[in-house]
Amino acid sequence: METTASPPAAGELSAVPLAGDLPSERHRLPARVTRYWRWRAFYGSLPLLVLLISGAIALPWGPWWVRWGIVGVVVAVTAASMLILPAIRYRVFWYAISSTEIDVQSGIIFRKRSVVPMHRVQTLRSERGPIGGHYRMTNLKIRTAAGSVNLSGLDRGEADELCERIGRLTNLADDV
Amino acid sequence: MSEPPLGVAVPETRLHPIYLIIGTAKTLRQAIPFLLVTIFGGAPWWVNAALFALVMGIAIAQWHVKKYSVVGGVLLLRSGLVDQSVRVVPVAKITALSAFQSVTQRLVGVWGLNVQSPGDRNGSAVAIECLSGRRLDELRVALESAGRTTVLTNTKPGPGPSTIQRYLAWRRTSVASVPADGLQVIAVLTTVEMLIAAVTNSATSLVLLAVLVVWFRFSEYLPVRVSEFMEIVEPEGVIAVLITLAMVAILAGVVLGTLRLHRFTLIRDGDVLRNSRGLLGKQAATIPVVRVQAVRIVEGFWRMLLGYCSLQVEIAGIGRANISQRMLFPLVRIDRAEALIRRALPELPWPGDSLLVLPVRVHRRYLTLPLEYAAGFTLLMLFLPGWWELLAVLPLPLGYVLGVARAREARWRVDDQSVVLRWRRLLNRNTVIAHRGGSQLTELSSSPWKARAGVAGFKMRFSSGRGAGIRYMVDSDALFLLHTVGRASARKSAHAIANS
Repeated sequence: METTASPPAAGELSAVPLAGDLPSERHRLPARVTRYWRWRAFYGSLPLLVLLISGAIALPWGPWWVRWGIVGVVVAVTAASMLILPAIRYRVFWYAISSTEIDVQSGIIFRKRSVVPMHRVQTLRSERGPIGGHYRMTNLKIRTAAGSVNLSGLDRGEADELCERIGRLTNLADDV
Repeated sequence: MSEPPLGVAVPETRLHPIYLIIGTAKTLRQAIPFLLVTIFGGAPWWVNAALFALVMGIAIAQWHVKKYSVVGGVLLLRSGLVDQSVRVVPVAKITALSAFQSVTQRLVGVWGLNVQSPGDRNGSAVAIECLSGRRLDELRVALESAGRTTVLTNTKPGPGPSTIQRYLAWRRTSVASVPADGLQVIAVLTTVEMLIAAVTNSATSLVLLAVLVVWFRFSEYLPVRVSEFMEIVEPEGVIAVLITLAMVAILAGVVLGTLRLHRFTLIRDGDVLRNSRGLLGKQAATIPVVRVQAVRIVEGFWRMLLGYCSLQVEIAGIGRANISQRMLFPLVRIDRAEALIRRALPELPWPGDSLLVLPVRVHRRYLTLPLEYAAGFTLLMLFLPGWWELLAVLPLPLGYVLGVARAREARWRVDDQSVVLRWRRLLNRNTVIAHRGGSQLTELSSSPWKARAGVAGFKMRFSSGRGAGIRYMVDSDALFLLHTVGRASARKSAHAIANS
């Protein structure tokens, strides 16, 4: 089985295009999703910030510059998560759905393109928190037996439609 | 799988009465804080007696309400005193059955049964603790019958030999590979192989690490006589200690391995694989062949030097937590691994052509990560005291060797039926042979730096929760794998399109 190199096999098999291969099939998230991600990052880091600032003021551990240095780092990361990252994430993210698979690209610096065969989808879970409710946003988690793919920041109507469509398409024989 | 059989395959049945003792012990364990308070708090004897009676009462009530049944192709397990629960597992969704017998269970002659199903990677979907041999057999027949035979309502098992009896009969003979009634012995672990497997197991290294830590932490508390004796005998000093500790670790590894792997036997029984093993505690697992998505050949560092490897299967529900359940065969010579897999799983397609190596221009990428880690370790080691500081010269060469090994050993191949990926993690080399459509999820990873160098990573994930992947390969090859692996066959796709 182990032999030396031979030419790459690309082309030997007929590779059917994926849903996301056609740029026209790629769906992007609504533009307001960046505001949603910003506020979610802010509220997500708020408890930690409050805790660290309270600790830096009230607890006498270590030199002052260490305490406030940690606070500064967390503030910088939060600021980056609010100001820089949402725009990059928005530009990178797309999803495409065909009758046979779900094709998703996500990431910020390290990009990941995931393909979930439609017949492998086990469950769909949509989540909507108070911030998502304010922006009419829904997070959709597509679960397989091996892991899940997240579509974070879908328009509410679009998410409902996707749930209905994927639910209909996955009604196939199970062979996990 | 096809439609499960309907009707009552196993009527509502309570566990073996021995569960009362096990249940009492379990409840007593939970009641230890209360018992400590009452016993050491000076409570009158009747309070302790009443507590014990209460514990017994709870165990009896739990035994009374805990019932299992197989009805309409569904396994039902009812339990709970206050919060009643019913666990439902469709028989058609069961991916593996694992019967086990601890030493205590063996003494009283009962078995436990783990029922595995997809989506529960950290443990069994249902565990039934106390079953007599006859009940175990009856339940296994009912659970294994989905898609194979129809289980009639209220019928007793036939007069033929039971599964356990067949195991025992076969194990007394040692005649290999004689198919009888669809039963074919694929391989039996010999004593020598078991010892090699035990010594080269990662448990031995962990034990060695543990005894080293314990020794250097507590050696100063040794009695004076022992210290004096150690100075008399040859060899003395650190070398003697290290040799002794290594021997202790190897001995512990051999004992653990023997208990776990004794007479490991792999059998092909129709459309299921069976294995049995264990010295004091017994384990017997059943894996439907149709559920096997891939086979993994694991070549550990020591085993590879000795020319051995171990074989594992990827099955839904049996993930990282169940190392022993996913074992196809614990030790086999590398040159015989393919033959063993082909005999055990002839349904698993193998690529017709040789595996493809990565082009040299990709090799350099494999050096980046190990060398970055090595640089970090080097910096840390520079802070070590005294001569230990010299250890800082090791990480960078080791990182380089690891990077080169990873680059040279990474291979892949895909064809109409199968996909094969080979990669090295740290010490282990893994080769996964999978059905082309067997993965649940495929991923292509990239970054601006990877894109500039024209490389990308590819990973496929199985329903066991584990994955297989190549970190760096030519980006067009990774994209090609993304387009071909894990997708429904053309016929299925057409069917799906028609349905949509």
